[in-house]
Amino acid sequence: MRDNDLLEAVGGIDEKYIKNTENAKVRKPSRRYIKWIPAAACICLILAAGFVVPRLINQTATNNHDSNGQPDINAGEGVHIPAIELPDSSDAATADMIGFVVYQGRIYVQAEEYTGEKAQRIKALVGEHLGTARGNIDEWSSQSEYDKEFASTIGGEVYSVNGYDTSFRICIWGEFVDESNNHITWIQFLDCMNGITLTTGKDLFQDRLHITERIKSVQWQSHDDWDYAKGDFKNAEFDETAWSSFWNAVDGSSFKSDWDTDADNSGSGNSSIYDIKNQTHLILNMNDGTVLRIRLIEGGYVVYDALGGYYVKIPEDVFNTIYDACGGTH
Amino acid sequence: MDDNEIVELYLSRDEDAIAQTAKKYGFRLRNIANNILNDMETSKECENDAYLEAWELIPPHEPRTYLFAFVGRIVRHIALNVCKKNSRQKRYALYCELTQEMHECIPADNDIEAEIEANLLSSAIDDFLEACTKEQQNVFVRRYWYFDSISQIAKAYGFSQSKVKTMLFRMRSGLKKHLEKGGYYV
Repeated sequence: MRDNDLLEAVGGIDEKYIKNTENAKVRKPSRRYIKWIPAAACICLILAAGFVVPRLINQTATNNHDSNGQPDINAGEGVHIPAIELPDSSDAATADMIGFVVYQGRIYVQAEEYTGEKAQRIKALVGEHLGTARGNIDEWSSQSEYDKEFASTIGGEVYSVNGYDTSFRICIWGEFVDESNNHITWIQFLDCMNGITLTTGKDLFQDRLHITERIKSVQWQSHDDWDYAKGDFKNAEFDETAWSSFWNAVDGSSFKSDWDTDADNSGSGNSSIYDIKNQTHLILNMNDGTVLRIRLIEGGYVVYDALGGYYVKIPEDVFNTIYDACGGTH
Repeated sequence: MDDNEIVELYLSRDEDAIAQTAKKYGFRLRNIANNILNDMETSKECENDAYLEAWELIPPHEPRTYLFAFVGRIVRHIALNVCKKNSRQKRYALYCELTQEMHECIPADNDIEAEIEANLLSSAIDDFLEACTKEQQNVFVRRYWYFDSISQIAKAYGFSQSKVKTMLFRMRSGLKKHLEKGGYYV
């Protein structure tokens, strides 16, 4: 048997394994597919080798809790998430795909997407018309094409989102016709979470996402269920005091980066908090019709799934009250 | 157009079948070839050759629910052949890297080179994957079928790169044991 016999033989495996990779849940932090939508000029992008997900420019990451275990907002400096760098050559040595729009010099990246009835429910959030995303970027685009306002990989009309600052969130709203000739409303949120500094949880969870102000209901999904996209969502049951204490702790805690190799990110020698197997997933249904996903990782780690790689860590007693009530395992 | 409708075009010898396949899957097929060859022009040639081969193979094959996997397998095979033919003129770094990784899976008593029928090996790998978790299957397929890099896989599934490397290392060890048990050596 030769080395390349095995590599060749992998090509002949059962097609169900290939299909499963297509169906597997694509997770954050960085990989986002542009769904092929016939009526919109969506173009998939192959970016050059120089395009990487935002890396932490390392700030001093200090212990962000005081001696009583309470979050100390004065201790840590949070994280600066560098602006996304667009490629400067068309040499596609490494491939990645991402949906984005350039607006006022910032890169807004594809976030939650709503179609059909879900889009209809949040249509009132579509605000002021800002311009037209040209969908003009593909793997052969020159550098100068990236520099223009509304340069994008997704085409469509761009709007502000009522209730959200345009420095954080914009959207593309449109309609397309599906294969059965039905007119489907489509709203694609695009969030700018690069080129920003997050000092404490409040900077993201309240100032940008308005969680405690707009929460309507909470569901949870076990990690195993999430991993296999089984869709078994359960209603969360916990008291208001515990929920309030949880968010007070999150809001007051410093942001940290999972890429900070100087930190023992899990306290047990793991190089990444994502290596910790005990996790659970919250689905926050907001009163404006939007949905947010928060990941809780054993040990006190709270992650906004759309901003993978950055987290806050809160005291475990406060954390576990919610974690345990939402299917968290130990 | 769904896979069933595209396959019907092949079966009725309507040349629009190729255009529809290219429209639906062309980008991803080129991507598979480009992952292997790192050369977009050659990848496009492989993609076109794959369509012609699919035209020859459908019928009798009818991949009504797995057209991408069917044509993807063809373009992968064509790209690997390009690698083998051109290995002296051009070094395909990822192909060499993955061949080296697969070397770890070759059973210990493989003293004599033998022609192992490719189908048997594929079946053995199927059996091995069946016993793995979905997560392990996906990572293995993305690495050794799609030729994704470690960082691409890590980004796709939200894993650290070290976790991906560890998973692959363990899977290669497991595959080696599985092949040894199955007697895939002389």
